[in-house]
Amino acid sequence: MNSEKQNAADEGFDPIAMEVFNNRLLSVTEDMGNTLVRSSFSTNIKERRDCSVGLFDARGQLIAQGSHVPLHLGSLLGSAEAVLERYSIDDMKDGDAYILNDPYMAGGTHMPDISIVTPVFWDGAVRFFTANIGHHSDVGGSVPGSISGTARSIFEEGLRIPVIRIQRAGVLDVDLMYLIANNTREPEERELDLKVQIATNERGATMVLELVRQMGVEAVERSIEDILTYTRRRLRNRIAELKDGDYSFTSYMDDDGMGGDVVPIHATVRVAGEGLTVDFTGSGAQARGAMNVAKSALRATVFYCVKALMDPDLMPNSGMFDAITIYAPEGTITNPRFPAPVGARSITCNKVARAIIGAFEGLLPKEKVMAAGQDIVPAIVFSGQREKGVGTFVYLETVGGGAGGMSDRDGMEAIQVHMTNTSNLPAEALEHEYALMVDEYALVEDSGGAGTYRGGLGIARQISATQDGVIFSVRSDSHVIGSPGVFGGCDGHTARLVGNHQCPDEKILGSKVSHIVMKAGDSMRLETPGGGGWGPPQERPLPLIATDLTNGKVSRTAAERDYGTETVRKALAGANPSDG
Amino acid sequence: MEVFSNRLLSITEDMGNILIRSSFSTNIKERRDCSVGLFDGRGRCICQASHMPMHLGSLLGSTRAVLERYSIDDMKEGDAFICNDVYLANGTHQPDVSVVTPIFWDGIVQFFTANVGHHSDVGGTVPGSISGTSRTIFEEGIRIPVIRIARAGVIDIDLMNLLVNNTREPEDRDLDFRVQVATNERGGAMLHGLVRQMGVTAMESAIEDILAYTRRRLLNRIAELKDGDYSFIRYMDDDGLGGDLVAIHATVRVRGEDLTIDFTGSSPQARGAMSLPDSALCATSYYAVKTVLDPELLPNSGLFDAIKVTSPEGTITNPRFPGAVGARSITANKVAGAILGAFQGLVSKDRVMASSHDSVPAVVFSGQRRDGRGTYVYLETLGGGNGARHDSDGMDGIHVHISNTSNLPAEALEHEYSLLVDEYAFVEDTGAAGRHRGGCGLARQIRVLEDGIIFSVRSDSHIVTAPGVFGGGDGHTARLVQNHGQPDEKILGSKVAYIEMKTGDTMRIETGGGGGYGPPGERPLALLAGDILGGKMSRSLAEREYGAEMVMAALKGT
Repeated sequence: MNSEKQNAADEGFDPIAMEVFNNRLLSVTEDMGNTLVRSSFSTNIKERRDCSVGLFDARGQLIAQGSHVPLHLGSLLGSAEAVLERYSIDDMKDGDAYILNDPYMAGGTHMPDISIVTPVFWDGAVRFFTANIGHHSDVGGSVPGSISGTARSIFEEGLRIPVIRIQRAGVLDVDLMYLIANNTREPEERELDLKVQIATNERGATMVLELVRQMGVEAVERSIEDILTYTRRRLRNRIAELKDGDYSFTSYMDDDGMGGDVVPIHATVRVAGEGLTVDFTGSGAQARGAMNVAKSALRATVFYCVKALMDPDLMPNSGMFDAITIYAPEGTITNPRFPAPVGARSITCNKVARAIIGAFEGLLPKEKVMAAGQDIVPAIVFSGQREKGVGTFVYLETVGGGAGGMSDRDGMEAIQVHMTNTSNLPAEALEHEYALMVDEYALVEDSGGAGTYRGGLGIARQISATQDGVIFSVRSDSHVIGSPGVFGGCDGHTARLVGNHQCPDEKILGSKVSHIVMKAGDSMRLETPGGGGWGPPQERPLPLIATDLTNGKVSRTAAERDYGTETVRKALAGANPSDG
Repeated sequence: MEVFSNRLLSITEDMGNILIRSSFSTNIKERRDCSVGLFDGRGRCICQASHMPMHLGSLLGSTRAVLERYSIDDMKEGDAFICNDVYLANGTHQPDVSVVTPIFWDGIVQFFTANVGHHSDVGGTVPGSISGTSRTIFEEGIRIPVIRIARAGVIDIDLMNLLVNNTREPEDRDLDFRVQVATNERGGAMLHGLVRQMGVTAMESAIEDILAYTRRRLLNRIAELKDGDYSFIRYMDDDGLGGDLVAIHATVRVRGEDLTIDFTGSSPQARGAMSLPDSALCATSYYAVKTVLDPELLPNSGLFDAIKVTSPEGTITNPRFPGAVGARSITANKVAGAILGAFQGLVSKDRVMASSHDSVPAVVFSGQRRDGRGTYVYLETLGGGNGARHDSDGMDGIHVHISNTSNLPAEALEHEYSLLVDEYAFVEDTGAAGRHRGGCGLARQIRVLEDGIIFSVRSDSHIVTAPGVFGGGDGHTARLVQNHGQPDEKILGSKVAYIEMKTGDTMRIETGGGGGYGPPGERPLALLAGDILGGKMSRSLAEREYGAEMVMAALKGT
């Protein structure tokens, strides 16, 4: 038994029972997550797993979650709170289900993330809520996919759903479903997936009630209090170990969606005893475009960072939230005023994560510091006519990039970082479903920053249209500013977007272009950024340099530039002495 | 029958007054951009008070949509249905939101009361929800298929909350939707009064009578016409996204008692928001036929049943989903112009009118409310020159054909919004010369009093003029000028969207004039002198059009 659990035992908890109970809860959320992914119809949920689930108590406290996407944690929390703000528990009926998405009215983070929240009854009273969220690939608005970096207000970003009952006492409101589905470009998929979301919560409710039947409701409620208290205590202990003070870092975005200057994200981590404040004073003004971060999204980003840096094994429940205070001045990119657009907020969230992690550099031992990763969520959207069936398709992909180098290893290549964590849509599924072809899917040579430990490589994904009239939009960043290295490591390479790569009409495009109409045979190639390096390149172990060169991750020219001709020659000689 | 018909008209008039007097948004209470109708239990229109002929399309379409989606047996007293969508609920564009209410007698649905209001914003890409450059219906605001907004007398406040928050003026929308629901209830109460007096059987047979009478009367008018095909083409400047002129080709086909209006030959579906959906095309056709053949005809389903309208799918007069349609009223007026043009071959010369400006130019300004409660969206559609007729000049500065709203008075405008009306006047030299002169267009120049006002416009006839008839001249084109008379003056296109204005910036729209009737040489000298002295035509243009000698003679006469 570790000291934490000893503490828990001292405060009257049964640590073993708590661990068992917590795992029971996690098995519920895991099962809900599997149900959601396996039963969904849209590629974005079934293949890319752009969805999350959570379990709340009757007061709206998060008790367990299966967030495939850390950013969703914000929406889940915000959703449960929004339901309780608008409806009294006494007015809820068994079989009700609520639907919502709006960032300003319903705790959402952007409109495509639609939540379903379901009250779970025991003995005639609401005891829990099951909740889940799915990123729906289109919810209407100006562009297919509903997100454009250049949107000017939330009204361009699709249907706003405040909290509203989609199911009353077990009966689906088919008219409302019809309204919601038909405000999107893929009504059939929306309707099917929303029904799956409702059913997922019902499945979760059945499992929770099973637990209550086994344990008794009092024991369950007491156990919940225990794990919340334990989590709160454990995080406060971690904070108390930190040195009091203010620690700041600034990360930068290329622009605010509408061009213009770079936008700073300034995070100050303030430690005072057992309390931790993260303050975004000094961040750039509210974006004119869709790069703003709504309250729920900012909260999720802060929680993610604190957990990742201070205690990755901490249970993600409301206990951890109590110890953290978040402040961002109104009218900044980190706290926009209605009706500012927020569609592309995941990019900003990753830059926010970068700023917080940077600020923690002053608080953590050197071996826990990591160089910057790609720290964006580059997203491409293709829309066109379905080859089978009727209507349009909207294919959304967020693409990984390089992670930052760490104290003991290179940054991972081609990985989604921080707030996002979706699968790619496999080329097979993509080409089967849509009038598109994957020309290339590869690592980008030389994109990782050199260092004792190199930054991970970015991804090149090149897709061509196989029919005329495919509409393409992109939201990306770091096409101007690379990922900073630490302790002498080099910066990672920037991203770029290329239309008709290596064709006579090749064209470099900006990071936030919308509604480009493609002809059959036209291609779009996105190369995502690499991670920053950790430590001086001169200290990089020679075998690693040799492997980079033989695997094609670093070109000989770049290696000679960053590590020196002599070092490269030595590294290669060491790898294959007969060439020496 | 006449008495009964007037009883019905008094109900719709009363409903219209309630709707206007009780509404909160300036667009309904001041500009009267709304209409009401009565329908029987089968969805046949028995009476309507369309302040806007275009709204007839929404009223007919909405009632049909309600009956298509819901069984009468599932309706309860106190239910009310709301809808707007062009493709799901036969609407004509998204800002026109209809409320349809079943009216019960003896436990069964005997009637429907319905009304439609143009809501100045329903969300979407630009404030006002309409941009000529929209590419799909998804850019044009919330799509409301038929859905119950009140169940057995209780407003669904959650749905209301969803609907209003998808617009930029949630408070105005919420209040006006409630007024629309109440207006129908009031209409229902008056219908009940009538049924109580007459008895339901007598009322049903009276309805059959007026429908049959209207239909027969129109069929007789058609039978008087000479069989044949009569065509006319009216052009639009572009399809919303630039490019070539767009043709609206109307063929009026008369065969005995059958009248078909066929739009084969019209240009393809617009890439922008200029396409005209089916219910709007029908409403426009009904308007044109009634105007030309029998202006006194009762506007009910008897009239509509006697006319057949066809248009090939995928054309500007019959768009495919999800084509944008927001600015369809401009197209509708061009359609009306084309139909009236086709009728020139069918009716006697004294019933022919020259082309009017045949547009519905609309300007939209949006900014912060003075009271700090969110944004406002101020929408104005403007009149222009009417075409001249055989016995009179075209009217100046008037809404034509399918549009018929008031202007927002300068006083109300300046009181409500951070805007100032610099000028509101007739535009000299816009009405064409002729024995009878075309009407003059309007100039309306508005100055903004705060930074960050967003301006959008949808207009047409900035290139294409209004043709005259029998030797009359063509009416002048429209134009849009930013910062008129200033060093940074700029002529803008007819369909620009989302222009950000600074304090002191102005926008001036000058609408088109009407075409002339008959040769200018035949214009009575006294009228010509009046034109010049009244400032409607400059002396220099008059000398060019009528000749220096005639102008001199005219002025000497005064």
